[in-house]
Parts: sequence; structure tokens; C-alpha cells
Amino acid sequence: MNDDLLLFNTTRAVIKAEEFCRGAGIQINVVAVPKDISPECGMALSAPAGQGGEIARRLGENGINATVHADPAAKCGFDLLSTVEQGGCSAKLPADLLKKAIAKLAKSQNPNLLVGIDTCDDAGVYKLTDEIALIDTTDFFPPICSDPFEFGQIAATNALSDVFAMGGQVLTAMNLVMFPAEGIPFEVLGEILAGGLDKVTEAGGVIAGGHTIADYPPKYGLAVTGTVHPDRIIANHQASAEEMLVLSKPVGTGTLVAGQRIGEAVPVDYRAALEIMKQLNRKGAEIMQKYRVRAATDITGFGLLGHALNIAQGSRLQLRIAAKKVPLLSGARRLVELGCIPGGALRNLKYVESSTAFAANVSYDEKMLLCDPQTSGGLLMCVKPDCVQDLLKDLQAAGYASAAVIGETATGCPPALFVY
Amino acid sequence: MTAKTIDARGLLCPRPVMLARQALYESSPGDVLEVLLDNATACENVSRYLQGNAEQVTTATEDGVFRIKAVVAETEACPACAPMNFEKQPPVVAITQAGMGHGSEELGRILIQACINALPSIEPLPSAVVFYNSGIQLACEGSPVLTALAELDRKGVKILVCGTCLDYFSLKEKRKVGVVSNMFEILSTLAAAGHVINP
Repeated sequence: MNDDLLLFNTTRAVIKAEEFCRGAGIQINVVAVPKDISPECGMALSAPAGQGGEIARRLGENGINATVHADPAAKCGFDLLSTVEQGGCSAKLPADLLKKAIAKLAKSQNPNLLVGIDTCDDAGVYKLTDEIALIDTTDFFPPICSDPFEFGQIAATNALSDVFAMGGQVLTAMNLVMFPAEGIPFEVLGEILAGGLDKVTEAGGVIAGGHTIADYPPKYGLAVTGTVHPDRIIANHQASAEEMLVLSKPVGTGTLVAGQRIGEAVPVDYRAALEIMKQLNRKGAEIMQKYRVRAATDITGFGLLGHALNIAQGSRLQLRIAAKKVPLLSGARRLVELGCIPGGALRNLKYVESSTAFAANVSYDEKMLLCDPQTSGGLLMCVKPDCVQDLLKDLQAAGYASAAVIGETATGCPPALFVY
Repeated sequence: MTAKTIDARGLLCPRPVMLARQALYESSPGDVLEVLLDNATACENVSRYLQGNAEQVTTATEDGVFRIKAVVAETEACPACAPMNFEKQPPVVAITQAGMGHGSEELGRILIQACINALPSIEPLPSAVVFYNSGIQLACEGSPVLTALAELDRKGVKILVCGTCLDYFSLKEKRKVGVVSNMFEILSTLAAAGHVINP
């Protein structure tokens, strides 16, 4: 639907507006307000795209106040999702192939490289002085939603997240853009970049430049530089036994995005998934530093279990995860039960299977949810038991409403993961 | 033991996995399931899914067609997880007055417009919309919902308008959508409905 929507404060105003429009010969339709605009029951008038403003003005002259809601997809008349079959982190290379590819690379012997590629961490960390270490990371991917501004926001939030997962602060970011020279209106690119800038600014950073290559389908992301005190780095390999596992955001973005693409996702659930993907992990990082968390990772394309495995293997510990305590996005379970399972979830299960023991009561659907590839997912933190309740309260107060304890660390690896 | 073939060629992921899942739930242990696919990614996804949920999974490729075979395992099919409503009949909508609900006429007038304008996008799509008594005014000249009714008609939804009622309201010449119908057809349409929606 590309029509403009006229929204009103009261049902009586809708009735008056409808009478006025019929009387004045203005073409409108009475419609129920779509769930992705408001989950509450409500009536609105729809008008052909571009005419909403003029109608609202005429209604205003007659004492009826209306606000115009233009369909976001109609803004530049281009649906970014139409360019891709896979989006977001579902487009990642399988983890096992990647490990093989980098296995033969010579490891750096530079003592200032505090975190390199060998522990599968979120970002590289390089010590500049005794007070400052640089965090370097990058991430980019093809569109995962229709609206270009929103895609820019999500891609940037996802790229910035790696700095926060290391406990750092964002300093600068560079735009990484692949965009076709023709075939997609060029304003779309402007919208994507504006979305990215919005989130870099919210993260406390600045955009210092970027690089563009002509390519189709489009891809967008950032190369980000952050800072952290060398003694306060939060890394995969620093977990200790008997810590509690806290997850700051619900999982399920992979299945909801896949469900949206084939028309199976409920609009209000998909909208909630988009909002979660746009939520920065910045405050999560600040809270981790407040409670002296030493080990954490952000959950992205390899799913909760894939990233948990990186912590377990990096720290030579067992991570025990209670499947039923893992917070889920609304609608994710229903989609997985319908078989709406993104390919990334199946690949992720294969990657973790040989290192994971599943209790008999963990269903296949639950495994799929725990392996669901996330875009811009939450932080998985290893937290000392004595401060876990305070940390959880802080997370919830900071807007991570679904944050929950989902398990604990233990000695006795292998298996690296135990799911019960 | 039966064999079932699912042609999932040309479908966007994860639709093929959904079809495989649905077929598993509709099969009995020992049944053979065959899935046809046209790309390697979908083949990999369905084959991985079946490896986790069926037995003896084999994959073959011939002339660009991927053919996966699997035997349905002896497991507890969980009725709560099974996809629902597959063999259910679609609903039928009966519009019996010019407004929606009782109480306020002006409110009912805009509610029914929003309701009919939403009908073309509901799932499952109704098989028919039946108009009788003063409801027929919505199918006649001057109705604010003719566009939505025409869209329903294009989507294959039967639009039945009560002939007796058109006669009573002297609107025979003013009907703009659907077909003029009679008590027998209207009753048998209502009787065959999965359920009747009476806005």
C-alpha cells in the first residue's frame, strides 16, 4: 500500500472528516489503521500518495485536525528488500569455512595486538599507550528491510556493536558502500547514509569519510574505530567459571526478517524486530564497565549458540544455556514452528553441533531459535553472581526490556556448550 | 506406506523448508517424501532440515533439478506444533446491514467501510461475500467501498447480492458489483463456509 494515511485523534473526527470528504468530492477510503503504525484499534482515511497533505490542509480549514502518515516505502518509491534473497547477517559465510580460510594466515607476533583473529573475537584491539587501546572493526551487509533510512540505521547499529561488545567507546566511523550506478534511484543511497549518520551520532562518534564501489545488490556498513583502556577490555577469552550469562536483547530477528520476505510475519512483530535491531548496545557496554564484566560478545550472524561457543572455546570453559529462559521476539517461535527457518540457522546448528550437548527435552524448534542468525543482536555477558541482579535492573532501566539471565559458565569443557 | 512429492522449485527461502515441514506432519512413519528444488542453497537448507527431522535423507541432482528423498521417522508428531487450518474451508462474510454493529449509526457507517476495505488483505481470503437486507446498499451505486469489492472480485472472491432485497429497496438497476443471487445459493454458500463472519 503506497497511499497516504490521514490519522485523527478521535473516532468522531474520522466520522466528520469522512462526511466532509464525501461532500467535497474528495477521493478517500476509510481504513483500519495498519498494525505496523499502531497496534491499537483505530480508523483512518487513506488517500492517493502525495495528496494527504492537501486534504489535511482542507480538513484543517474546516476545524478537523489530521496528521499525514506517508508509507515509508513510498518515500523514495523503492523497496530495498526487492534486491536480495538473503539479508543482514544471514548473508555471512559459514563459520567453519571461514575458520579454515584464516587458519593458515601467519599470526601476528606484535605484542601491542591485544586481541587478534585467533580468539574469534568481535573486534581487534591494539594498544597505543598504557592508557589507550584502539578497537578496530567492520561489518556490512545487503538490505534487510524495505526502508533505506532504516536499513542505514540497522547496518550502522550492527557495525558499531562490535566496539561496545569489547567494552569500548566509539571514536570514528567510515562508510562502506556498494551501490549500483543505475537501477536504483540515487536518493535511496542518500537515505541509507543519513540512517547510518543518525546512529553513529547517537553512538557518540563521528563519520570521517568512506569508500564506494559500484555493485548490485547494494551493501552498506561501517569500519569503526573505538577506544578502551587496555586493562578494561571485554573479550571472549576472559570468562571465568561460575559466572552468570546475561543476554540483553531477545533473539529471533533472522526468522522474522525471513518471514517478512515471504509474507508470513505479523506486521507488528516484524516492526518490533526492526526496533530491536536499531537499538544500540552503547548503554549495555557502559553497564558492563560499571559492573567490571570481563567477557562478553554481541550476538550476530552465528546465532546465540555460535557466539556463545566462541566465548566457551576462547575461555576454555563450558557455557550452560537454559533454552526456555532465552528471551524471544514476539512471533519468532510461531514462525519457526511453521518451518520458517532461515538457512543461516541450519548452518549455525551444523557449526555448533559437534561442540554442543543438547538435553533430550530441547526440541528442534528451540535449537533453531538458539541458532537463529541475528542482525544487530544483543550482548551476551558473563557476570559475577553477586552483581547480576543489579546489572539486570540497570539494563532494563536503560531500555533493554527483555534482558534476562539465560545460563551460567562452568568448568568441564568439553562439551563447550550444554543446552538444557 | 505412501510416497509424496513436493515441487518447491521457484520458491523463495525459507518457503521450501515450510512445505517440507508441512508434508512431514501430514505423513505417517515410513512414508517417503520427495522434494524438488531448483537451487543449491534451498537444497542445502531442506536437506539439513530433513536430516534433523526425518531419516535416510539422500540428495541427487539431474538437469539442474535437485531431488531430495527422505523417509518419515517414527517420532511423536506434536499436534500443537503442526501447521493449522490447511484443510479448513475459508470463511464467508455476510453483510446484512449498511453499517457494522449496533448502537451508533454514524460509527457503524465508517466501521463497515474500514472492514470491507481490509477484507482483500485478510488471511485466509474469504471464499464469498454475501449481501442481504440493507447490506445490499454497499454493493450499489454511491457505495464508498466499491473499489475494495471490485478487488475482492478480481481475487476470485464470489460477491453474491440478494435479488429479493434489490427489488425491495428498488436498487435492481443500481447494483455495481457481484452477481444477483437467491436464497438457495446464499444458504448453500453459508453452509459450506469454514465459518461465517457477520460484521
